Amino acid sequence: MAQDLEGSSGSAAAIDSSNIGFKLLKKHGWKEGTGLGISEQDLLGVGEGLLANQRGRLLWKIAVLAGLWALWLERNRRIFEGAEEGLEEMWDRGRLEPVETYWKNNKRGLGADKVKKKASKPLDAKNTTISGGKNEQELPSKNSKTLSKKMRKMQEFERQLQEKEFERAFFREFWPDNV
Amino acid sequence: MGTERKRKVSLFDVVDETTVAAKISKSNGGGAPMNNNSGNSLINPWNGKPYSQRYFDILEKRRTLPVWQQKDEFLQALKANQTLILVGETGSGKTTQIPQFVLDAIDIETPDKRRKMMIACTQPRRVAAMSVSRRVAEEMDVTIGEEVGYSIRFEDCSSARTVLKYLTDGMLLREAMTDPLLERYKVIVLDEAHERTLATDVLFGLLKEVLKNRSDLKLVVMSATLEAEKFQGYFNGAPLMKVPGRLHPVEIFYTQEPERDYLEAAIRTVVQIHLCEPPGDILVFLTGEEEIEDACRKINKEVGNLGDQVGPVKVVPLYSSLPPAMQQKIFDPAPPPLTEGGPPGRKIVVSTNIAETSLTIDGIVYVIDPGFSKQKVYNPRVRVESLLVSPISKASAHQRSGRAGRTQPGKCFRLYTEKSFNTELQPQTYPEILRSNLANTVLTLKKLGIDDLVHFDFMDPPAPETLMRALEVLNYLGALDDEGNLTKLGEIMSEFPLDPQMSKMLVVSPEFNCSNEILSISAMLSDFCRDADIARLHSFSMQACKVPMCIDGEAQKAADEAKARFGHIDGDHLTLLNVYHAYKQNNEDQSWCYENFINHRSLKSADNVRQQLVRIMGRFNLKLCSTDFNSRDYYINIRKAMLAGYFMQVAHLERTGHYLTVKDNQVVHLHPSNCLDHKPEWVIYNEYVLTTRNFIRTVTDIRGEWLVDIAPHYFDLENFPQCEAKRVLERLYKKREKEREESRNRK
Repeated sequence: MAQDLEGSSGSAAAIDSSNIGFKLLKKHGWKEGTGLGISEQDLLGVGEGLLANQRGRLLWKIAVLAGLWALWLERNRRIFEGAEEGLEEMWDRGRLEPVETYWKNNKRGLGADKVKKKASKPLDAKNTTISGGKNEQELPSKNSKTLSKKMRKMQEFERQLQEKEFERAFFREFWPDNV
Repeated sequence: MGTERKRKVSLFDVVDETTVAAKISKSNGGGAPMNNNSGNSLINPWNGKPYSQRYFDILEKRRTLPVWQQKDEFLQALKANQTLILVGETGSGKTTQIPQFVLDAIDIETPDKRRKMMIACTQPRRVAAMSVSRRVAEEMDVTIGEEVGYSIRFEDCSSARTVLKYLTDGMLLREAMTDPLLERYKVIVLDEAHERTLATDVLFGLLKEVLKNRSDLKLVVMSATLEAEKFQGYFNGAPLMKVPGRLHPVEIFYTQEPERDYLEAAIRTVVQIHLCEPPGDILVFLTGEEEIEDACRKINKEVGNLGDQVGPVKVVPLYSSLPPAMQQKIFDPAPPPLTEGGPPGRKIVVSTNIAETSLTIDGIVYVIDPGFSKQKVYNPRVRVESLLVSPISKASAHQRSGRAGRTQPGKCFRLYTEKSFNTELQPQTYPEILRSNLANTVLTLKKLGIDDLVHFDFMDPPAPETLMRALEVLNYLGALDDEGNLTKLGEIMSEFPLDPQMSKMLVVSPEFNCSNEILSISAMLSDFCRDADIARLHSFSMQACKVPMCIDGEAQKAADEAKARFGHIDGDHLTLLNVYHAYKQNNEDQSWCYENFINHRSLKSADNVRQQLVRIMGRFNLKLCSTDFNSRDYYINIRKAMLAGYFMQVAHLERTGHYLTVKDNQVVHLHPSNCLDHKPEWVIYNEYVLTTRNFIRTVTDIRGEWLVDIAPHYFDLENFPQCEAKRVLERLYKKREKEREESRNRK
């Protein structure tokens, strides 16, 4: 059952090396921990093919220089034109992890989830002070719905205590021992 | 809460009408030196007929389009470069005009007089390819399908005389499979490149290679957004040309607080606009069909409640699964005032993001953007591809607001805070290649002869795991061998424009003596799948039952009725087959369809798909055959053949009463629309629907023994997670073993 839960949570484990797809991708020349695409080839295929011959070495040098040049241009762009974006873009090439998403099962607007959390906090605080002051009757019914079950139970208990207060006082006063 | 909105300065440049007019007259007066066909001549060079009056009327209008100002500049750039990137906001006229400019300027003659080279213009959507080509044929004063044609999946409307062809990006990719260097084409225009569809992305990498080998081929990449710089980097610094759109300033309003319910907020905003704002039509973006229909009802009700004090409204839904006649309604004018001089009427279009870039509706002044859309996502770890409601990107939000400024200055109401816009929206929507199952793409690439998938020049390389899954699936299906090479089977499979699973099922169906029936089932299934290329943006949620039915009927009732009539207790696939057979027996009669809650249009297109598939089967000498209908094996054979393709989509009924997908161990439920009268131990499913509960839709009962017989390589116990299904399979394998021994002993 634990397996089920893990599976249905949506964040399953990565595909492991025993998988035929994994093996096939390796046969296609992929190395673990790297992404796909042509840029990875330039950076990581160095050890094997490229440096083997003169032309390859030259290409590699050009590639490194080109990389530095691109960095330099980017730096200039940022410094002189105040451009901000780009860092993510630059390193985003060749993603390693699949895109993650979640299922949205309500009609809440953008950003509304966070606000709700914030709003519920002061509510809780209010609630504790109220129950401390034994003044539950004033709590709007709408709010009580949003309170947790546990809270409501505690409130119920408090109310019962209050109702029995007189009884208990009476008891204390007129306990047979005192008579 | 939503009444107070924050004002923002427009993002768009104001177009000064006078300067535009001046420029136009100048460019037209100057004449285009390279333009040797149009203009003064009265004879249409394409078909040798005199131009009609209509041609000149349209030409007059065409000349006012913003791209005409830059015609010369464009043609010079095209002449000087092999690759050119063109950025133009929607409404600049680039889709219709640029290919015509190219046609006028480029020499397409070949040594063979009867045959001319072609110009291709790709579109991400079938609807766009069709409608744009029609329009261009009109503009060029030729018949559609002759000199100007279109080609979309399952429909080719072009001839040997065609010189300009609009086609979906997927179709161009298919053509590349038979013509790797695309030698029929002289110029290829990739339109709407900013949409970054799967096929467009693959074409990018492919064309980059082709261009190296064909110096005479030219490529024009057209995009509507700012991402063009990225294209420029990718295409080795190809020159960039900008065409201004014809946009008026748009004021943007944000809410001060996040909305609790964006649907309700959208409806409320519509009503507010209708009450307080000057005339002008409204465009509301929502996520899916159900939501849109719901919103349309509510808007009508709310406005109805306001009484006669406000003008009449016409609420029009728009989503891709809507019949074309209904889609046309978005172009109707707003209703007239109820009484002479009364408050003016208003048109309200409620749309998915189909209206974001691909469809242009004039007259829209107000845009309401709740900030969500349905997007395709694929998680290779759980192997589920689904359409999910997700926040849009900044680029999308920008596009949406731009829709308000088409005819006059407009307003865009964003139903989220400015802070949300800045912090929560990503700059660009993830390209489809990062969000899709790549099994089909890998098969195509292999067929194209691209073996080094790892180092293929992807503009945005997908995650390695996505590719692993694709390779795995193709290997299990037998399309790739253990070295990753395309097999004979794989080659045939790649010729079908279908999912690999479905292609496999078709290719092996003659072995089960039921290819006729499998063809019908595939056609019926693909009738819905075929919209998947559009559906990444929209929902096809409406089908409460997969049985195609009238859209206007009450969905549930119709589904029940149809189920009672055609339902097959062993599975939904067989129900689809029943529907198809009944349709054929009743001579494809439209009124019969109506009486039986069946959507005639979708059955007709399924029939068309079937014919195309039959043709492909014929090309590979795949036998068309059927088991005798009275035989007990009739349905058994069909179910077995389906399993041969879909053995990776099997779910097992656990003792606890729920289903678990085999190997992935995901808890799933049978979709309520199923036609089964019992809960089978094993089922195959066509579709995994990701919602709060995970459903499997279109299911058919199969037997455990078949799994062991048909796909032992997949149900290999050594490589199997511990679960109930494994124990059952173990028993089945032992049983098989025993049987084999017994038969050996008997001998």
